[in-house]
Amino acid sequence: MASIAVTVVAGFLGAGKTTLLNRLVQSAEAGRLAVIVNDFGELNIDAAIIAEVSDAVYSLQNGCICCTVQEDLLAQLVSLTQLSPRLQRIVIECSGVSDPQRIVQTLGYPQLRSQLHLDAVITLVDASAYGTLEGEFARLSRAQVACADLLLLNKSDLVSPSELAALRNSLGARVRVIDTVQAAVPDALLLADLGDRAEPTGLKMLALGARHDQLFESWVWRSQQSFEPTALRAWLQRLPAEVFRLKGLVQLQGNAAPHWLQHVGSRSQFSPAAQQSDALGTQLVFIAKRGCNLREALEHSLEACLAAA
Amino acid sequence: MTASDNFHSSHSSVAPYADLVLHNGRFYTLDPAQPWAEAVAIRDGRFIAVGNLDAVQALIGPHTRQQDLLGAFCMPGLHDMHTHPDLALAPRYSDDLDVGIEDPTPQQLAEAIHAYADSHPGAGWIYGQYWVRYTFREAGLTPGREWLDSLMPDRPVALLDRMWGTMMVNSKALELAGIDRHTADPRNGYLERDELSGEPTGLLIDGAYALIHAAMPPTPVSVLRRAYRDGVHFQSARGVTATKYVHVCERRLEALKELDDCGELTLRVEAAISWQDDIFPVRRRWELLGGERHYYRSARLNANAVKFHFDGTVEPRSSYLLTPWPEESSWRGKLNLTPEHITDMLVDMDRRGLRVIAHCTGDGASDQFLDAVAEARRRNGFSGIRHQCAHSTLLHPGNLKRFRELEVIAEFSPAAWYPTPFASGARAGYGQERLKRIYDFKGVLAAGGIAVMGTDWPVASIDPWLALETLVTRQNPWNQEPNCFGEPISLEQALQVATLNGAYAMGLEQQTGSLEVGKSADLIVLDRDLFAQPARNYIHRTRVQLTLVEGRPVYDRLGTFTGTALQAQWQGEPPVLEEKV
Repeated sequence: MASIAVTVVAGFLGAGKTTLLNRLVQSAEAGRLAVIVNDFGELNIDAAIIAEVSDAVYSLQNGCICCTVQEDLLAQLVSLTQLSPRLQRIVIECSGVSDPQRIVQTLGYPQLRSQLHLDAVITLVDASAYGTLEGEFARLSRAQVACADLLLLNKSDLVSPSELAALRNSLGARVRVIDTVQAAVPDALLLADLGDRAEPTGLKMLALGARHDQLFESWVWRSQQSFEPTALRAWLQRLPAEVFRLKGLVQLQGNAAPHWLQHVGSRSQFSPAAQQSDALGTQLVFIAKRGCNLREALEHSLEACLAAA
Repeated sequence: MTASDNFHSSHSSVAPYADLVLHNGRFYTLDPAQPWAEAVAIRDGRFIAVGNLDAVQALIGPHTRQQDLLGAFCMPGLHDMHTHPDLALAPRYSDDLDVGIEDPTPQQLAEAIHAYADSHPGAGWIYGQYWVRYTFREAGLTPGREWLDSLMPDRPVALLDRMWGTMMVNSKALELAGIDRHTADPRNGYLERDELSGEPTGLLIDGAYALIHAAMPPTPVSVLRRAYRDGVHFQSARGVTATKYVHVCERRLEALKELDDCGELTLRVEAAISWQDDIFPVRRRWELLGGERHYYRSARLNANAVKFHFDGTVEPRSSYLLTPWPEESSWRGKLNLTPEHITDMLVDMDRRGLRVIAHCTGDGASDQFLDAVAEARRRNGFSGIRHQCAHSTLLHPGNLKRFRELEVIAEFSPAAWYPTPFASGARAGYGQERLKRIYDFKGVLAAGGIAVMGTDWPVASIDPWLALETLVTRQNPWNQEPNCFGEPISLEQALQVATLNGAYAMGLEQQTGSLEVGKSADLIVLDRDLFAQPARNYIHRTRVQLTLVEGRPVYDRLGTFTGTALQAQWQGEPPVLEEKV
C-alpha cells in the first residue's frame, strides 16, 4: 500500500495560502487529493464543481475531497487514510497563527507513520509585510519560516529588488526560497512525484526534458554502487540552496533492501522500499534552480560518497 | 497537633463549663430549626450551646474565655471541595532550570545549562525549560541528544520546548530512563528516531515525556510541604475549614502528614489518591488504596478517596460529550478510561470504602460515570460512600435527578461559571445551546441533589469568596456588564452549597457544616453581613476576621487571641498567592 504524501501549507493571514490551496484543489493533475482547510468559505469553491456535500466534507467532481480541520487531527488523518480509493496526497492548511511544527509532530505518531509521510512544509511569506511583524507574531513567523522545506516569497512584485534581496538575506542562506506572484509555482515543485519522470538512459546526471518552465531544471543520476550512509547524509546536509528537491531509490552499504530517499529543502527522509528492486541500483532525480550550473560539482561530490567496491 | 493529646471517648472526663463563649454575634447557623443565633458555647472543640446569651450563661465558668463579637456576622466554615495547591505552587518552589529567555539561541541555551550545572554541582538531573526549535534551525543545528551530549555528557538533561510539544534529552537521560531503539512508543506520543538505525534522537513528543518523568526524582517532600503549607495558610485565612486535595501520591500524603503532625494543617483535608500517572507518578498506588492510606489518618487528614481523570477539557475539545462538538462531524471528545474500566473500579473502590472522584467535564463523561455508580449500587447496595462527579461542567438534563437517586455529589468548579475574557472565549467553545446550561447548580439542587463547589486552583482562583459571589450572580464580579453564564442560585442556597453540602461531600454532615449543638465548632467571623447588600462586587470583597476549627482559632486576622492559650496559627493578612485579577 503506497504511503500517502502530506503537504503542510503554512503562512500568515494574507500571505497567499488560500490562493495556493485553490490552485491545488482545482488542479486536474492533483489526483486523489484531500485538502484540509480552516474554513470552506475562505476557499470559495465554485459550486459547479462540488459533487457532494456531507457534514464537514465537500467532494469535488475532479475527485478531490475538501474538509475543514477537525479538533483531533490525528483521528481525522487516520480516517482519511482509510478512504477508498486510496488518497495519493493530503494537503493541510496550517492556521495563520500557529506553528506548523505541531502538525509535523502529529504526522510522526505511530498510528500514522506506516500510512503517510510528510512530503514538504511549504511556508508562504508575504514579502511586503514580513518585516512589519512584532512580538509573538514575529516569533511565530520565524517558527513558520524555520519549519519550511520550501519558502514561497509571495507578492514579490510588490517590493523593490533591493528590498527583496535584503529579505532573502535575512531568511538565512540555507533556506530554499522561491519568489512568486499569486503563489504561482509549478505543480511539479509542490507536488513532485519525481520517480516516474526519469527517462531511462545510461548516462549519469542526465538532464530531463524542460517540462518545468523557465524556473527549474531536472537531472537524473544513476549508479549500481551502494552509498556509505554517513557520507551520504553529510552530503545531503551540504546540498546548495539551489537544489529544491531530490528523490529516488538508494542502496545503502550494510542494508540489503534499498531505501527511498526524499529530500526537500534541507530535510531528508529515508524509508525502506517495500519491493526488492535490486536491478535498479541507485537512481536520484534532482529539481534545481535553472542555470545554477551545479551538475558537475554535485556529481563529483556524490560519487565520493559511494562505498568502496 | 501541638497540644497535648486530649482525645475524647465514651468515658473520658468532661469539664462542666465551656472553654470559649462567643456572644453578641449574628450567627447564620444553617440549622433549619434555628436559622439565626446570638451566642455559642464551645467545649472540647464542640458546640455545647447555640442560641442567645441566656442559653450560654450557665456554661460560663471561671476559666471560660468570653469574646464579644460586636455584632459581627458568623457562619459555618467554608468547604472547598476540589483544589490543588501542590500543582499551583510546587513548580514555583522547585529549583528547576529556567532559561528565562523567550526564544533562546542554542548558544544562550548552552550557557544556561552550564550555569545551572555550575550552581548545582553533582550528578543530578538538569530539568527545565524552554528551548525553541526555530533558533536551532536558524543556527543550522539539529536539536537532540547529540547536541546536548556535546555540552553535558555525564549528567542527565531534559528540557521542554516553549510549545510543550517536545522534550529534548541527552544520552544519559535516555540511559537512566531505559530508553533505546527497542522502546515502544506510548499511544499518546512517540520517540523521534533515526530512520536508518531506529535509535532515539533525544526528542520526545507529547506523551512520551512520561518515560523521562518516571525516571526523574520526584518533587521533594520539602517542596510539596511548603506548597501545601502556603495553600493551607491562605485557605484558613479565607475561612475554609474543610477541603479536598484532589490528586495525591505517597509523597504528597507524607507532606500533608508532616504539616498535620506539627499542627499546621489548620483545616480538614480529604486527599484523593491519583489513579492515573498523567500528572505525576504514584509509585505505591495499590498499597495506598489497599490500606496504607490509613497510616495518614487523623481528625484533619484522610486519604479515603481516589481521583480519576475520566475525560478532557473544553479548550482542546477533549471533554466527552453526548453529541458531537460544534462544527465537528463526529468528534465527541475523549474518555481516558473505558467505561468497563471505570465501572469495575467503582464497584471495587466502593467496596473498599473509597470515594471515587471522577473528572467529568462533558455530559457524556458524567452520563457514563452515573451509569457506573448505578452498577456499583446494584451490585453492592448503598455502601454509605457518596461518589463525586468533579467539575460537572455540562450535565444532561435527564441526569439531574440521578445525583439524588444515586447519592452522587455534583461538584462544580468556577473556572468559567461567570464571564471573563478567558472564560468567554474558552467556554464559548461548547456552543451557545450548551453554554445556557453550563455548571447547573440550580438544576441539581432543584432535583434534590447535593451540589458543592471546588475552586480547582490553579485552573481558577483559590479564593472561595469569588466562587461564592458568582454562584449568586453568575456575572463578572469586577464590572457591570449584564451578561450571565448559566443560572444563578440564591444566597441562601449558595451558603448551603459552600458549608453543609460540603460536609455531606466529606461524609461529615453529622460533625460539621452547620452551627448545631454536638457538632464541631468550625466557624468563621466576617467583616460584613452577607445579606446586607446585593451580592455583586460585594461578597468577593469579604474579609475573614476569625476562623475556628474544632473550637480553636486557626486564623485570627487582628490577633484577638494572641498571647492566650487560644493563639491562632495564622494571623495578619492572608498571603498573596495569586496576581490580582
